Amino acid sequence: MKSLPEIIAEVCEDAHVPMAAAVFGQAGIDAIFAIMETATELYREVDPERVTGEIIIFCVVVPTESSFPEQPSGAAQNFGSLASQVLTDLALQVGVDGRPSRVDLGSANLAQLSAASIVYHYKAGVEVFLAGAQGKRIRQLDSSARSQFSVPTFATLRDALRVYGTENVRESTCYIFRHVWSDPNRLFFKAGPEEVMRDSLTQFLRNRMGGEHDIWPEQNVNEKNPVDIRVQPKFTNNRLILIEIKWVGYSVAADGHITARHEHGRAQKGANQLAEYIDEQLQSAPSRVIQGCYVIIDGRRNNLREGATAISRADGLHFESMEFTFAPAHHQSRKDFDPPYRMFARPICV
Amino acid sequence: MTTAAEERLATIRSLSLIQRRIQFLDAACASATALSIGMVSTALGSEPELNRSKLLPNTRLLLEDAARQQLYAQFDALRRGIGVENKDLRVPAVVWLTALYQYGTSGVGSL
Repeated sequence: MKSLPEIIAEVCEDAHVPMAAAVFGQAGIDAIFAIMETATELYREVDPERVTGEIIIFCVVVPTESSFPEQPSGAAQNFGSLASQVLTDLALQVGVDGRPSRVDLGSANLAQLSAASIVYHYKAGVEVFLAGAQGKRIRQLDSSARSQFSVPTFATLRDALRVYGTENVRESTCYIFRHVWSDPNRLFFKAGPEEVMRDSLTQFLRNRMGGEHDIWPEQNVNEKNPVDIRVQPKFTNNRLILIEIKWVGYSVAADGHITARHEHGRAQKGANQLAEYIDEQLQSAPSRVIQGCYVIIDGRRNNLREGATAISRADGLHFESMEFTFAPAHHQSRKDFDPPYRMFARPICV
Repeated sequence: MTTAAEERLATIRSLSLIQRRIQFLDAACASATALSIGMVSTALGSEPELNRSKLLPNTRLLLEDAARQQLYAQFDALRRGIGVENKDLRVPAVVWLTALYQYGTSGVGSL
C-alpha cells in the first residue's frame, strides 16, 4: 500500500497541471486552467462520445513561436449551437480573454501546435494534454464518465441510481465494484461483497451528487441494523433518503466453495428490512420527510454449478430482464418507498 | 456568472480584509475545474485527519501534533514534486486533491 506522500509524488510526476507549469511557467498554468474550463463548458452541451473524430482545444502561450495569433479572430463559439450537430472533428482556440473560438487547424499537427501552446486532445475516450515536447494522459478518476471534464451531476438521486445501474454495474465498469467478483468471468461474487458494493455506490453518489448532498455510508438506524447509505440534501434539513443494498446470486470462498445462494427470498427480505428502517426513522424523527430506495445487485446466473469457470450467453443473461415480484410490494403500498432499483451485473459469456 | 454577481464579487474582492485570502479562495474554486464538486468533496473527506474525525463521534480539536506532522509530510511531498518557483496555488491544490481522491478510493483511506 502506498502512503499519501508517495501518491502525491506520483501525481506530481504524472499529472497534466504540473507539466504545464514546468514547461511554460505561469502562462502555462493560466492556459491549462482556461482550457479545462472550456472543456467543461463544451461537455455540458456536447457529449464527447458523439464526436466521432477528435477534439482539440489549445491556448497559445508563446505567440512569437506560434503560427496562430494569441487571440483568434473569429467570434466566440456558442457551445449550445453545437449540441444538435453531427461533429466529426472539433478544434477550438482559447484566446487571451478566455473565450473559445472554432478554428481551422489547416496542416498543423499536434506536435507543431504544442511547441508554443498548451493543447488538449480527446479521441475515443482518451484525453491527453500536451505542452512543448511533453504529453500527459489525463487520469480518469471517474471510470464511468466519458471525460474527466464531463462528470455529469444529477438533480435527483433517482436519476443517479438509474445511471449507476447502467454505467457502473451492468458491465462492472466501476473500479471499486469490480472487486466484488471472485472470478474474471463474473460468475460468482466473493463472500460478503456487501461492503464493496456499498463503497462503490457511495463513491458514485458523492462524485455525482456530492455538491448538494451529504452521502454517508452505513448509518445506524437502530441498535442492530445499519442502513447501507444515508443521503441528506445539504440545504433541506428535514429530508432524508435511506438506501438499502442487497445482492442476489452466488458467492464463493477463496477455495471456490459456495458460501451463499441468494435469490428471490433475499430480495423480498431486503425490501421488508428497508420498510422497517423507514418506520423506525419515522418514529424517532417524525418531522423528517423520509424516502427509501432499495438497490438489488443482481448477479444471478442460470444453471450455475460450484467450480464453474465459464457460462453460455443464454445462461449468463437468463435473468437480465427477469424482474422480481414482491409480496408485500412496499413500493406499491406506500409512497415513501421507491420502486426497487434492480441492477443486473452481466457476466462475460463464452 | 451574471453581471449582478460579478459586480458583487468585485465589491467583495476590493475589501482590504479579504485581500490576503483571495489567492486561497481562487485556488479552491479553480480546483473544481479539474475535478467535479463531488470529487472535491470526496477528496477532502479522504484526508486522513478529517476522515478520522468523521469516523469517531466525539468532539476534538483537529490538527494536533501527530496530525499536523502528517499534513506537513503531505505538503513536503507537494513542495518536492512541484517545486517552489511558482507561487500559483492552483497547482498544489489540484495535485493534492487528486492524490487525496486516489488515496481515498484505493482502499487505503476509508470512504
